[in-house]
Amino acid sequence: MFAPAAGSAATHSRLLPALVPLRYFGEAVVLHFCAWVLAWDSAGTLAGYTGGFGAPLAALHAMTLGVAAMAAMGASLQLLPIATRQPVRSVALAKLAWWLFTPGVLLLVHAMAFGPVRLAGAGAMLVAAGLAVYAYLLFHNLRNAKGMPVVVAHGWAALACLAMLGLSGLALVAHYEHGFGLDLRAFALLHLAVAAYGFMGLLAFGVSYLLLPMFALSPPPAAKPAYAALALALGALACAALGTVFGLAILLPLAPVLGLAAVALHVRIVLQSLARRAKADPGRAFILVYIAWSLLAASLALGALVAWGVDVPRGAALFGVLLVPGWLLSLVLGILQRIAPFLVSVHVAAAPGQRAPLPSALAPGGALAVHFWCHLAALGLLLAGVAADVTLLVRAAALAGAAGALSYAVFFAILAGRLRQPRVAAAALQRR
Amino acid sequence: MQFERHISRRLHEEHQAHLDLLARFEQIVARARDAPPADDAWAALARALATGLEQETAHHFEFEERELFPRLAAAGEADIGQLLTEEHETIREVAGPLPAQLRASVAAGFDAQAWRALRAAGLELAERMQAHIQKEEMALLPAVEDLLDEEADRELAAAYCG
Repeated sequence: MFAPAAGSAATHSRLLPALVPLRYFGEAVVLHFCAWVLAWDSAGTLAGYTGGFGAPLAALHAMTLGVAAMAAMGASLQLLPIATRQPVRSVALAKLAWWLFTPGVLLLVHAMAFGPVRLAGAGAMLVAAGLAVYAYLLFHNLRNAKGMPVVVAHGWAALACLAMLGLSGLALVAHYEHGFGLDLRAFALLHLAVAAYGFMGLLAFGVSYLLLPMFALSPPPAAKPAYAALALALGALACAALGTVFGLAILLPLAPVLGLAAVALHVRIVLQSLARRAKADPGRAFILVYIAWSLLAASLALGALVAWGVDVPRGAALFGVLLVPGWLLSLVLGILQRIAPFLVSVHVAAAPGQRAPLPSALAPGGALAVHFWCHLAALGLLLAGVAADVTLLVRAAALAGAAGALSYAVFFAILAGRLRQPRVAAAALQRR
Repeated sequence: MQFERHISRRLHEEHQAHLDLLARFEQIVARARDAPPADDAWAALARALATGLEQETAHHFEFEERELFPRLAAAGEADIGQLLTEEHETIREVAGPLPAQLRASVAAGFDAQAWRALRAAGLELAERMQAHIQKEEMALLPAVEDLLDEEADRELAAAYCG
């Protein structure tokens, strides 16, 4: 039913209609704002948070599922067919994944923040269903991929982690909703590891090898070191999984160490590639990526300290801030502000009698500049507020983050508005 | 990405050469807002860029439009070929007056107004060319790897370089 229609020119196209990836990006932009609103709600309890339903968990999932996963799905659904020389398998399924995932995330986040818990189960099922459809598309893309072996290898690893993410997430929700018996701490740690470092981390590693050199107009990185970084990352994940699920405590301290080695090698590989870039100043998006890398390493370092038994005051909350708004959010927002204009430029046409807009004119730089400084302020205030357990600082962080999110939404709205003049070929494909 | 086809590698190398020239152009004009630099480096770059636009870029675009985009269309990817063709047209329009302006800029009497016009056109060209090359590197050249067999690749490479 969902196989590409035989004989249609659209079956060989690697381009999705513009509104397909853009709906994912648009939802991510909306949930970005919601996440900071939830962070405001969390201000009084965030520093001492160690788990369980409430505003902090809702904010965490708004950022991870609502922003990071949502944007990653939209970007990969378009970029991977292009990069791996595959036709788009099914536009209908790409849309279906969004229609399942989006209400699922909204329900789940709402239930986590405000209850009732039973809604979390419904939300989790929809999220899992949306991720399953996405996983089906990703599986077929990777299976038939041509070229880009490093990106494909990371894709397979990310897909495996996605499966574990889904299963562990459903188990956790079943525990909260129905009292399903499980080792809560172990499953939560497993879920965190395979979701953040596994699915998002490995997808980010792989796609970074493709996108960052492309944005900076530099040669792609070498393959062998990239495989080595992947092996280190998989080793770290294996240690985390075996250490949590099977109680092999001796493996737990190894996980962040291997993870740090993977990050260090990955960053080195990409920086070596970027050093040969043709464009001198790659821009603010790259600064966000560099900040993201630093905070990723910091999260692993903090994880290592905790795994080695070092008592870090408010360590759990600090870890969450470094990992999610620090690394994941910074990385996704940095890459999204480059990939969204790129994808729009593929679809937008020139007005009659005029040239097609310049890429820099598609996206207003002012809004992104405001977002950049608000985001940095939010991160700094959030880290300080959690470390010192000062509610006022956390609230200030949430305000700064929300202001940045609104600014980012302005950038996106203007960008999306450019599509009022779609190119004839793309518009014709959308009508099929 | 590593390319196996001769023609992909050749086009990729030309992309890199174009990017290097344009990057050098951007660096120089960023510092010279009101007048062209009165040094040999600018003179050499201006001549290289003028020649490049008139000859190599024109030849590169014509080859893609004549040999590669029809093959893309036959393989069901006419949308990518059409997008790239439209970008070629825009780049030709922007680049059209530039060679003469670049050569004039190294001669005496090139006033500030003319320099600012050249600077604006050149920066627009650089941005459009960079975005265009990004798309070709990501979408066109990998597709060429699949579109051409060894024989077709040899013939096209010989015709392109001959």
